[in-house]
Amino acid sequence: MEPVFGLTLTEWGMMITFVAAVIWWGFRMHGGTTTMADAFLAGRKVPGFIASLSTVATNLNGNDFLGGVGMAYGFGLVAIHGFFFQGFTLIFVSLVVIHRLRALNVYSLGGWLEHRYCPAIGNAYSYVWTFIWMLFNLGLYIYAGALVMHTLLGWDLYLSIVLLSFVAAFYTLLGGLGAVVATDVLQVCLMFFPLTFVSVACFLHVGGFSGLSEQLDQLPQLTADTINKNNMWAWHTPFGILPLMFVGRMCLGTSYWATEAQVVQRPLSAKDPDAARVSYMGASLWYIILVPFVIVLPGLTAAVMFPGLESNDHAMPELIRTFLPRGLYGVAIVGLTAGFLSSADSQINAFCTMFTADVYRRHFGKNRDDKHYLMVSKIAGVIFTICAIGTALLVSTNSSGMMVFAVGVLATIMPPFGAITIMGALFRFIHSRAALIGLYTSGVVAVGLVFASNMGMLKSIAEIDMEFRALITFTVASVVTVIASFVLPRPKSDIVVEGPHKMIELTPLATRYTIAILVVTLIAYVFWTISFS
Amino acid sequence: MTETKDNTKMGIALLNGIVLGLIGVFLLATPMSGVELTPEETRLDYIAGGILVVGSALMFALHFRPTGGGTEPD
Repeated sequence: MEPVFGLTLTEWGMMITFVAAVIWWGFRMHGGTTTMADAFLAGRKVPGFIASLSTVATNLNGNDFLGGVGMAYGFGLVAIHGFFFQGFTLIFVSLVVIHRLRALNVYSLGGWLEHRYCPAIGNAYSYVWTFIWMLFNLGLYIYAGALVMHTLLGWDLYLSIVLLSFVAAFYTLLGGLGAVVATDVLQVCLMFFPLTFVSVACFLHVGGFSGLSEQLDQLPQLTADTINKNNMWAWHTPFGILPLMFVGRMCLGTSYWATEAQVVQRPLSAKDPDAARVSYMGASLWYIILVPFVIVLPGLTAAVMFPGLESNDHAMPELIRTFLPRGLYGVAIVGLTAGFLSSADSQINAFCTMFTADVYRRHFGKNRDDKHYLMVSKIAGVIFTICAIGTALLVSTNSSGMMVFAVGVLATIMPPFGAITIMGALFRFIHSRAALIGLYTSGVVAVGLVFASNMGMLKSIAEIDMEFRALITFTVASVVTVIASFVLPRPKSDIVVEGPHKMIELTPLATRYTIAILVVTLIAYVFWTISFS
Repeated sequence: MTETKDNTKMGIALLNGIVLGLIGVFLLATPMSGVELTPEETRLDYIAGGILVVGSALMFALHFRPTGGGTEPD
């Protein structure tokens, strides 16, 4: 029996079952979304383990599976550091930032920044994220998902864009964050399950770690200065020299986990402070233990099996076609679809939250009841999705340029806000005037680095300069903010909290998780180093 | 607050387990649906489908496990 529109009969059964399930979750959770807290933060009742699965599902999408495998395909084993460093950054943000956001019962980081510093900083964050970053980011998610449908199944690209958008928006706007979290649990299972089979097949095909290592040694070197893809400890990497890559990765990762609205919602929606810590710290164990096997290992295998692909992003689709029979192939397609939806729904919900709580309620519709705000959020969500379809169509006209642009935006806007968030959480002496100056200064530096990157001026430092730019921007923001706090007087309007100040919140559970993550990371580093030595 | 308003303790494991089980059933049915597969590919589909169905059954068990005073949804 031949496939119809790219899928066999039973594969269509899987796809319809999955789509029906996510839409059903929207209806199932709809009855409980009567307040803003219910709709935007699932009533702040999400158990820690569920929140950690949701964090993984939100952050990992088809882009990451395709792009992450592509990165390992193109740059080799050095790509693994990015996943191990998630552990360090998630520990740091969990201990320093999250409990402070939860203490104020805010809906987003913008609410905390307004309280901690001043409305100008809170508004800056809210407007940049709501009207620039999230709009562009959702468009990218939708486009990437539609591209997978188009590439692997032959579906019309534009129809796929509309279909994916409609499904994501429908159950998200209906069921709120509760539906998003519930579907995330399903989606993370469907994302990892077929890719585990791909990883095992890869491992067996290349003859295990030793066989893969030997074959990687025979590949051409990346450049004259770099050691081959087999070496995760090469001094020169495509991301700059190794120490620069590490520190830059810390700056970028810390900024991401502290400021990206859709992921910050996970700890904010957790049922108690310990569950909030588990939501982030638990997620880090996925990145350290599992993700290298399902992303890095296949990427390295593809480098050996399919050298010279037109694009690094073609590596994962080639592996799926090679190793998965019909049936499992359908599960992989459902898994990739789930990946895109898991990020798109979070983005839509995050937009609704920030637009309603941080923009509309703050400036246009004060002192209205929750029913009114929920209605506004749904209308805004529909308009946002339509605009994101437009963004996706725009991206489709220049996909490679737009994706590079998106990565550049990420490295530009997150570190400044990340730095003032971290500084404000750690040190009570940081005041709003200093934070504003730090934000503006680092913003100028970030934009300058964008131009420098586009003109090729950073090529001598790093081929992929995202970590370098994040390092510089984060450092400038932090240093300027600290110095300005000492040099300039604190504004009278700043809220000054008296009493002892704990820089980090180290509860018994947080201590256990921190030790576990550090030990697991060390074991992972030793394991992968020995396996490829 | 009643359980019906406790959005996240609504049998997430149970309901998602049903979905995964159904997908597993479709996977098990693939070799019998007229799709041409080699014996090795058929075996792989059966293994994967079996894992999903067994996993679904475990999620059922997790949902209906006794917790002292009766069963509680996860």
